[in-house]
Amino acid sequence: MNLDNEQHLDEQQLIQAVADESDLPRSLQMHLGDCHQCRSEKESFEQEMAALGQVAERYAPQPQKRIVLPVQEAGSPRWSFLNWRHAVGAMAAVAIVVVVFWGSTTLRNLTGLPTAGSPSELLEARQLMTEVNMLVDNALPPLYLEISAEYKPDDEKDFYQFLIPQIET
Amino acid sequence: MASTDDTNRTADTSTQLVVLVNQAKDGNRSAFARLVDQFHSDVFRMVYYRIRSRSDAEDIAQDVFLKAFQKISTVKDAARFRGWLFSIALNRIRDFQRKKRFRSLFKVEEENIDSQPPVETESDEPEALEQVLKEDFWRQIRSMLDKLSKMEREVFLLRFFDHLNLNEIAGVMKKNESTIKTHLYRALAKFRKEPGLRQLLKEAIE
Repeated sequence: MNLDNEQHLDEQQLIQAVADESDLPRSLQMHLGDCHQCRSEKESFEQEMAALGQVAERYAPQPQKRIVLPVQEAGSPRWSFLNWRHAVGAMAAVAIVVVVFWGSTTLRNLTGLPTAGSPSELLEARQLMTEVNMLVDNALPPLYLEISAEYKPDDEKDFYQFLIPQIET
Repeated sequence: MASTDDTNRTADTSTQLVVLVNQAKDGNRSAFARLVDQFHSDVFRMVYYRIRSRSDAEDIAQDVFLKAFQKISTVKDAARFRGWLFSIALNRIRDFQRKKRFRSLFKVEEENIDSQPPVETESDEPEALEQVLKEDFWRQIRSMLDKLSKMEREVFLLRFFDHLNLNEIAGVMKKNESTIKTHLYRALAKFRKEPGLRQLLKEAIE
């Protein structure tokens, strides 16, 4: 085969050949296989790179300390940081569940919804809620309301009559 | 014939490695110790090439094997154990460099230490000439690596210093092979523009 007329690999193609020859176009791969000049250039470059690794290895120091392994078996479960994090996560989840459960129970008690208990407890709770509701309507006892003229049921009746008179037939 | 022998030897070594890794995964401590013996130098050198401090490289290598010991059960492909070790080492090196950068924010002295030639002086070095050559080599390597981007540098080191193939590098760096090839190509192109270092290597070959 006459290779004189064929184009030799340029610098970029040579680098590409060293990085990964299979990435070169098929025609260049074939040329590289046949052309002694290109092949020897590539091999020289590869030798240079191999020498780089060898020289680095020769000029690097040797480790002086031996590797010390822990006492337990390889790959056995260990109280590692990761496990510790899992434990904290689990504890936090339990705490959240407790708080949510406690909170909802307390809320239910405050709203006066009946909970399971003895009949006397239920009666006591109902009376308490009645008192609470009365206090919500009028916080002051009736005596104080009379003194302050705030609570006059008859006046209220007259007032409503005035606002919306009854139609007499 | 020699080629067949080499192929058989490589296959035997690979099989032995798989057996050792599987035994270590099953909790066999002595199998893991043999893996340590086999790969200690590789991991140490790999770390040293990147941080250029023997004592730090020894500490990091210790950390790498400790982590490997704890996580050996997670190895998926026993044949790629070396690459797996290197990916642990790479993470440890990143942690170390991050901490070092953080410390250097508060300590001016450490920055000064960094700017000094990275090679450590060894009292037991036989010849002064060898020491000079060594220092010159690492100075030129450092100068060349400084011209590469972070990715180019890592790919270049893994390929030519740590002798990983493209597929292994892709695994260690968690990138696809074509990305690795692109960075390798760029790194090689920059390396070709380093006449001093190339001359030094040619002399080493001769």
